[in-house]
Amino acid sequence: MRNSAAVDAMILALPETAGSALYGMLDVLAATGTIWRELVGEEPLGFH
Amino acid sequence: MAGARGGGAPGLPLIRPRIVSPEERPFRCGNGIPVSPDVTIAQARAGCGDVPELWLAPTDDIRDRHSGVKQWLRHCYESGSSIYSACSGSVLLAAAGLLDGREATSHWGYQDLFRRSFPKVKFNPAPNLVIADPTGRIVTPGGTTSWHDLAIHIISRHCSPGEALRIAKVYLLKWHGEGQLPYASLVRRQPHADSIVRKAEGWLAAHYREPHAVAAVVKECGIPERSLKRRFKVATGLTLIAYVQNLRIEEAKRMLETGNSTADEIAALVGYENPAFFRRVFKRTTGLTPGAYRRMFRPLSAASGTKGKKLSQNAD
Repeated sequence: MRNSAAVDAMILALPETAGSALYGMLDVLAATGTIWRELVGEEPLGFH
Repeated sequence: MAGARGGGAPGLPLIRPRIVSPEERPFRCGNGIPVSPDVTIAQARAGCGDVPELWLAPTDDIRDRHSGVKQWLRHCYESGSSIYSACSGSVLLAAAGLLDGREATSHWGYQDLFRRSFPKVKFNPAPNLVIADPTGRIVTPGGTTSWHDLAIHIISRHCSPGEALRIAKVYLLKWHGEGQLPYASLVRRQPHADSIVRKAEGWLAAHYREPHAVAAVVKECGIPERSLKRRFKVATGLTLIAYVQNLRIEEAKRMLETGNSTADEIAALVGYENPAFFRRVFKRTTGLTPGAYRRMFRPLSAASGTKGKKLSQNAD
C-alpha cells in the first residue's frame, strides 16, 4: 500500500557507486514503517 | 531527502527511496552490479538525497567529472533539501563546492585527498558522522559501513527516533560512537618525488624504535635539520616526529591485535621509554586506550583460529 505522506529519498547512483552502500541504504529506508511490525507483530494493548 | 516528517499509518512505508541517476537507461556500478534508475536528476529536481560511497582511489580527481550531478546537488541544497553523503560520497559534495568552509568527514583514507584537492574543507577524519551545516541539511558520515550511522540519522530525523531504533534492531545497524580513529591506518604512503624524503622514510621504517630516531635520521640524510623537516612536511603532510610516532603506534596496534604483551612492554618494544607518554600518544592517535583497542580488535584477529579462547585484556 502506498503512503502519500512518505518522505521521498533520492539515492544517487553513478558508475563509481558501491553497490553495497546503494542497495543497503535503499533496503533499509524502504523498510521504515513496515518491517518491525512484520517481525514482532503488534505489541500487547497497554504495553508501554 | 525532503525535510518533512513521514508520519504514515502503522504498517505503511515512511520513506520512499528511489534510485536517481543522470540518465534513465540501466547501467552497472562498482563490481559490475546492475542498476536500473527510477528517475533521472532532471526529473528529481525537487527532491534530493543521499550520495552513497563511490569507488575512488585516494589519488583520483573527480573535479572534472559529473558536472550535471554537481549542479543538481547544489540546486537541491539551495532549494531547501537535505543532502547526505556516505563514505567517499563526500568527495562529490566537496567537488560540488557544498563543503567549502564547512567541517566534514569521509572515509579516513581520503584525508590526504581532501588536504590536496579540497583545502577549503575543514576535514575531520575522527568522527563517524559530521553535520556540516548549521541547519543540519548537509551530513557527512565516515567510512564504508558508517552508512549505517547515516541511515539511523536519516530515519530518526525524518521519521522518529523510535523508528530509527526499531530499524537498527532489525538490521543490526551499529552506531559507530567510537568514531573512525581506531580503524585508521596511521602509516600511509604519500605520492611524492622528493628522493631525500623517500630516503628518510625508508631509514625510519627500519629504525623507528631507536630512542633518538629523529636526530639519527637527520644525520643519515646529510642535509641541514631545518631543510629536512621542511621538505618532509611538504612531501608527507607530517612532521618528522609525528611520522615516527605513527610508525610506533601502528606497530603497537599490531602487537595488541595479535600478542599478549602488556601495554608497558609494548611501549618499550616500539621505542617509548615512558609508558605513560606512550598511553597518551596512543589515546590521542587512536581514540582508545591500549586495553580498549585490544578488546575491540583482538576478537577480529582471533576469529579465524582461536574460537572460544579467553583473550587477554590486561593492556590497560
